[in-house]
Amino acid sequence: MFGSKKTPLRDAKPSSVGHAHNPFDSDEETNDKKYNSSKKTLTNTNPFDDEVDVDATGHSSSSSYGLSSSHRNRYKSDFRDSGGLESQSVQELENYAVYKAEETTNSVNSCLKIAEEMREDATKTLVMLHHQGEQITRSHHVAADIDHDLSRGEKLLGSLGGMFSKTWKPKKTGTITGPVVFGDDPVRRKGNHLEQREKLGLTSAPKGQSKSRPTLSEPSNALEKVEVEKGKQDDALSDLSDLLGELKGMAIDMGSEIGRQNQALDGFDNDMEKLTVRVNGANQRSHRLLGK
Amino acid sequence: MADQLSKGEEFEKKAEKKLSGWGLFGSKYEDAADLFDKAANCFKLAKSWDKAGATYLKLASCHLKLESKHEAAQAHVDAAHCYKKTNINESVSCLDRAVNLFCDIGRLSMAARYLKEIAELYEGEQNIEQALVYYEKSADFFQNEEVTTSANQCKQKVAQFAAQLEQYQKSIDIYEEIARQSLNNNLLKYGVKGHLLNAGICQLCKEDVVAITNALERYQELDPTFSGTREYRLLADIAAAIDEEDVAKFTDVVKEFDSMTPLDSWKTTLLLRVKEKLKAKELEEDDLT
Repeated sequence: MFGSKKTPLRDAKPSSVGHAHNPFDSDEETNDKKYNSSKKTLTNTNPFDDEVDVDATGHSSSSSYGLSSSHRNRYKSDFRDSGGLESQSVQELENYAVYKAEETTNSVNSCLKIAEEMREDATKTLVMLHHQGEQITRSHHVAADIDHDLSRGEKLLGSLGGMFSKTWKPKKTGTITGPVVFGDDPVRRKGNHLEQREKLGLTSAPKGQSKSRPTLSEPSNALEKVEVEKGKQDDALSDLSDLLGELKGMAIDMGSEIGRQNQALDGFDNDMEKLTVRVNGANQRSHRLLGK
Repeated sequence: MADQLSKGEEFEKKAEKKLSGWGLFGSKYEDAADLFDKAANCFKLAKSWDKAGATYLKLASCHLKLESKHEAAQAHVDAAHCYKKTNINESVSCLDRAVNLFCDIGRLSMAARYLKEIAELYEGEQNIEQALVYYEKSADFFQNEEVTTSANQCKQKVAQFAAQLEQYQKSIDIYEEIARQSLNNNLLKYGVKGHLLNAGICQLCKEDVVAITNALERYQELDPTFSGTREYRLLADIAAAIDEEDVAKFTDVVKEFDSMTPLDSWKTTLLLRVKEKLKAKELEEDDLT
């Protein structure tokens, strides 16, 4: 059951935390500002953290290929200050490739994190929409109850007014229907629908199984390091793809629910207008009776 | 302020005078009720909350004499809202009386709403045991009135507090039930994995690896997409760490999940409990060797 399910971020190096940045930050910002938010995360005390030595640059000393800050500054400027890419040694370019791969991994992870936050917010919004839909339906039911009570009131008002007075007939406004139940799409509504899709082989393979890459031993050369980073990026992008698919589904469901609620509110509005006319009529009748 | 206070006292005296005098067909209670209402409003404007609360209680007793239970209940609620500023226990007792009156006249949705308010007051006072009791009552009332969303909100609170009080099975049952209900709804189905994660964390707190394994299999049957989620992987990996009694692995797994989806304080508290138990086990093992 608990086989070696490799999670996409399992082997993310602590060294990469220091320069994670928000992919939606503008390029015009200074590097200091750009990496500021990610540096904050280093100072957060996670209750699950065990003691790990962190050096001045914010990288854990256990990192097998931590690069010095001077190297990193050169990489950030794409070697502009040291004669451009052409004049660099192979070793330097390999390290640069690793740095860029790490940077890309961090960007993808940041995107994934943002998508996760969006998903959480969307889930809360859907719950609120459901609550709102329930309230509209309940309010409409109450309007139907008011209609019932008002009919009895109108009968009583009609029979009042003395022997010689003309019997009062309330205005005809049409019947109040009460809330109309809009069913969900019956196919998607079925509880076992997901199971049927699973049997048909339509659902995406569970990540636990599909992503069990052969775990490489500690990467020794730059090429291996880049490959490891590419693996992480693939996993993260796959997660991101699934998340975006889910967000699309959520958006569709939100849209259809809001449409359904609009229709429900239209019906509710019509019924309330009819009720208002009848209540006003009943009030006028009461005033006349009291005035006699 | 002082001006409003003296006005209020004046209205109150007039009301008391009305009550002690004679009146036809209970009209004295109606007049007194009007005066008490005015007095209470003046006390509220003067920010004299205790006096306002006491006056609303007198107003409630007038309404009860007039057989107007709905108005009496509402007066108790107003009294509770005044006492909320100064005396929580008195506020709770007023709301309790209001709930009983609403139940008498069959306004169960109102009763549910005020039961939830009592629970929130207790929660604010950190009285988790009482909060749990009242959230449970509230959920029950909402369920009877078929206000499922509000019922589920209250049930989730019950589950949350039950887990804090180490009543893990109760918490698990609630989260699993909510997940089951949510699966059949297009809007709520997206929250299922969150509920199953909460249930799973409670399972982890029980420290029975076999039960955890069975639960995960059951959750997969319940929602076939669950096995592909990060939540499932978190639970499975933690279960493996518990089985191997590996604290370092546990820490890595939790840290990795937290880096993507920050854990809220409730989850953090429960996972820390699991970690402490795991550490204790590891120390025991070390002592034996």
